[in-house]
Amino acid sequence: MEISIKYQKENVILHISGSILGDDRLQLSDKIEELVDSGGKNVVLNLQDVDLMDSVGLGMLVALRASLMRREVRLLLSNVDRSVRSLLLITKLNNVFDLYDTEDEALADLDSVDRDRSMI
Amino acid sequence: MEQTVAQVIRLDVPSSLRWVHTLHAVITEILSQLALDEELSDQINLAVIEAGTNAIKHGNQENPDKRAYFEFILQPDRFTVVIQDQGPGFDRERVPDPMQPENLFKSSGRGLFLIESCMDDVTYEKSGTLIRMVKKLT
Repeated sequence: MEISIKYQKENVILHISGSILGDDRLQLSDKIEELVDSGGKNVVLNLQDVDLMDSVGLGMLVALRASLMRREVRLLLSNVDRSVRSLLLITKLNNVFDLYDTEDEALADLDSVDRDRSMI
Repeated sequence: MEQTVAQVIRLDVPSSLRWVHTLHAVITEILSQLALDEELSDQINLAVIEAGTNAIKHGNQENPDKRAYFEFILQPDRFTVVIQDQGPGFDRERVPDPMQPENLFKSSGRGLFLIESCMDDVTYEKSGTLIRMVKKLT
């Protein structure tokens, strides 16, 4: 598994490639927690190049989502590939995660939420 | 020439989750030889990874002195995978259903459900230390 990171405003975008299996979960969740500790307000995971994720990786995402929510940080998934999408569907977690077809759509949603908040 | 006799590939790995990537590479290579459609390959791949992880993590408790054994049996109409660990076994009936509302947000417990969703036939033998799973190819 390889992780590349970029920033857009206070949002952190992680592009994951390869497979998320076994102990990869530790590397990924530690990295995300570290980025949020450093000030990331929202996290977008671009999963376009993830060819396989197992239940351990999926469980990590479930736990991470809950942990970030407690810190008022959103976790968004974009570009979810066929195999990961199928995994989410089988486990009925497709309606639990915020899924976007593209990274831009995820970021646009974050922008719109920011705009709504500034109008209140 | 059409393949009529079962071809068997065996692998055994030490009980560490870092070998799951090796297992993934091996099963991916075997499946590529079968030229299956992507969905079928994904399902078999995931089931093998889940069952392998279970054998290493839950069966052998990641004990480096124990090994997980894999047998891939290729036949024209089916792909069979047999995985055995050296742990104490388990009772499938006592594993909670991860699709129940109270379990939906748990961070673990989906492995067996995924295996059974991905494969056509799954049996647990030898007190749960051996899992045999079959995917029909026709």
